[in-house]
Amino acid sequence: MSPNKKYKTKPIIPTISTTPSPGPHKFKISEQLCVKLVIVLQLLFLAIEFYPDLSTNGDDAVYFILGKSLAHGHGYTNLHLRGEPVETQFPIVFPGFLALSGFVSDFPLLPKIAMGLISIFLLLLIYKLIRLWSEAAALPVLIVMASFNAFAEYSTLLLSEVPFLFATIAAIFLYEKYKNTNNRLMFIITVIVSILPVHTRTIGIAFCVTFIAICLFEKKYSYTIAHIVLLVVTLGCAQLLSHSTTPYLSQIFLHNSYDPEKGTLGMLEIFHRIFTNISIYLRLTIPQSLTGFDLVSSAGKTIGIFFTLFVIGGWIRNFALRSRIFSIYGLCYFCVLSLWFTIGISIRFLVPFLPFAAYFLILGVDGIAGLFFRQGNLLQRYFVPIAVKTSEFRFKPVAIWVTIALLSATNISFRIGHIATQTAQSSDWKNFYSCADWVRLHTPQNAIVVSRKPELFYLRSNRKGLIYPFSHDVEKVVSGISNGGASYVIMDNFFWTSTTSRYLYPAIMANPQRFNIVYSLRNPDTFVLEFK
Amino acid sequence: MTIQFKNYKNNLIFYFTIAACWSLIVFIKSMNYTYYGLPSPSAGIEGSFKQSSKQKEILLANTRVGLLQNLQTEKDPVERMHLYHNIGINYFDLYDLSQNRAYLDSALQFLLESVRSNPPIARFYYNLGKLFTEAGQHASAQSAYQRALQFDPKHIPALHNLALMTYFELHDPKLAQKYFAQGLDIDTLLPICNLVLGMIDMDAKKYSDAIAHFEKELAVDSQFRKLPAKYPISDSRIAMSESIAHYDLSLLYSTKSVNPQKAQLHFHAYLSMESNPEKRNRAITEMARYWVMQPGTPKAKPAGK
Repeated sequence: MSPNKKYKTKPIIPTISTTPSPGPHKFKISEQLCVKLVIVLQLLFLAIEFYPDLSTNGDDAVYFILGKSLAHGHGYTNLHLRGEPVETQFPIVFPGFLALSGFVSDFPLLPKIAMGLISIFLLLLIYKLIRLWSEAAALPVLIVMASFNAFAEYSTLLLSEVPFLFATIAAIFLYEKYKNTNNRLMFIITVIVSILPVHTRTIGIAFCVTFIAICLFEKKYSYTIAHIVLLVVTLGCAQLLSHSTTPYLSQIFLHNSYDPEKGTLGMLEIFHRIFTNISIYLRLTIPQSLTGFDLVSSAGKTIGIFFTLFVIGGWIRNFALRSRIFSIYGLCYFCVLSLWFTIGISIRFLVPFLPFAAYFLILGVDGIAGLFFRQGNLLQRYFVPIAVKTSEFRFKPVAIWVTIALLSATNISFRIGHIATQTAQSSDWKNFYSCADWVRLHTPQNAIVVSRKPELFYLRSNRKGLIYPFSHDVEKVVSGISNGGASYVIMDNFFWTSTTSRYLYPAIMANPQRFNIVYSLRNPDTFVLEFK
Repeated sequence: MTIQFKNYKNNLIFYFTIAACWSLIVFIKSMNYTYYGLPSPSAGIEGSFKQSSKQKEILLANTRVGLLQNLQTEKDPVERMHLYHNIGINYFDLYDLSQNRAYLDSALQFLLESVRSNPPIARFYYNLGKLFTEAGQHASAQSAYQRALQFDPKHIPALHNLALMTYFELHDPKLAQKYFAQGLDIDTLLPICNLVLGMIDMDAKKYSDAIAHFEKELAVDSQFRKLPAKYPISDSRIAMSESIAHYDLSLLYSTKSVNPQKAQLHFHAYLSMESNPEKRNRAITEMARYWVMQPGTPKAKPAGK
């Protein structure tokens, strides 16, 4: 059956004839085995890479604490901060999920196992979703997605990227699978799942815009209205409950989303930021997230640019295909990303975009290969619908599988190398945690401690805390410590940041009579100071 | 043979089984992991924030690198002002360690930059005053301290340093007296003020006033030690002040307002505080002019007066 007869929409570009299929089941048997093999290998790698504790990122600690807070009936509060303020930045879905494990255990092991399982389920869901449009593309996307180092890294971290991606893919899958049915239950479930991304990560607003756009384009007005109503209601409730004074969208237009006091951007600054961000993503971050390596050499950078160009090519081509929801989402996603605070740019922001990037990459490679091996004019050769059946590929499989093999090889070699060079905790973190252990054993229960990472310090020391102000005004720093009710200060010597030496150390040296060393460590110098 | 892998139930069982196995493997792997630990043995540095010169130099160097990097990127003018000031203080601390004049010059350069826009921050001018004093530019130091007091008339450290500099460097006892009196008006427990006022009284031959001031100084110093430190006056300076007060009191009680018991008391107190053998010998030689010394011990008796 021609794929066009199954759906109402007609392709923009006429299809070309394909060669007869060699047989309906021959590839299916191998494909199912391949899928299972990929999943088993992925589980094997995850088991080796698995680390039972929280990372030093800090955000996973905050999520974990918020989950604990919900589980123990403290509401949606930051237990690690003095006064336990209500959380206003992180949406509630992911901490709510973590709260489920909080009923069972106070340690992060259980939720980390759950995250690993979610990532596997996510891979299968991506595979199933792409199979709705193209059986030929599903397995390549699955393979490359499973091999991505960035995806594997975040698969067992207690961060919202993977759950967010899961919610996004689930929503798209449910919509694509059930949009033409009259199943009321699935309609309700689809609409509910469609608002989960925005309540998992703020950037989920890009998905909401995508969902509304695709529903309007495909004339699914019931979905549009239901989604908008549910979105407004849930966002309104979230805003009311959190008493947040900074609406979601306005955070994008701040100089620094993590420091609202810096004010908002002017028009020129907005354009400058958009241009800078897009440039960084295209030249550096996308290639790095696809290959797993920091492409610093000229050759590496050139290869990286090629990958990016394939992704862009595939993204453009996808607008003409049934899977255009991916392209619309890509557009909306990068619109939001381009407005975000430049210094915060990292691979982390691209993790929820990886399956889309993988799919676009395959489309791009397939499209370019088609320029050489198909018939018709340039547009006909490039914008041809993606092969539904694997058997419909002619010469293209070579190009696609070479690309998949290359990407998978680079990512897997990076992961193997990373496992081989995994070392124990670095000395700066060892000292930091040692200070937390000392504080836990030698200070009153209600002591407030100032440190660079109060959330991690709290989980280790069971003492609430705060971070010192990031200001060169030493009086402001000391007042911040004093107003926070702190009685101890951790002077760390972290290798990965110099904020303590830039902001805290000058404040201590300007007021030496107020700080008294009570515990000290060397290599590197780390101190617990009593603050008067 | 064609195997039908579209059996949904078989797939479910397969994936459930491998997920359960994986979870178990990971759980067993992580069983021995401990989330809490014991603190490592302390390096033994306790008390006020002091480090060895080498470590302090390293820390100062690292701090300076970070601050200079921030100077490239920081756009906020208020933060830049504080940044210049902090870099200047960093160089000053380095100068303190190494006595390398180049650091002092760099410190001055950055501190002057920090006050270019006349910020109303007394601390900036106070630190600038300290630097000028160290550089021997007493007139500039005086202006800087006075500017600090313009923005904060109750800035004790600026007033204190200004008073000391006015007496010891600018040799203006009347003005110094005025500054010390101002300081004591704000805080009666300000160390060293009464000492210098006593010295001014001694120079002016007002011996009973001098004695009163020295006695007050000792009382203030003793109180100052007990309370939480409010001002950046080191213990060594307090000790030096006490030592001088004891010595001057022993002199005054020996020569002017004769009181052998008090003279002896204060002289013993002075000797117990003075660790420099040359100074001790000089003091004993001096006292010997007024007292009869017991052989072998630094005791004294009144010489029939």
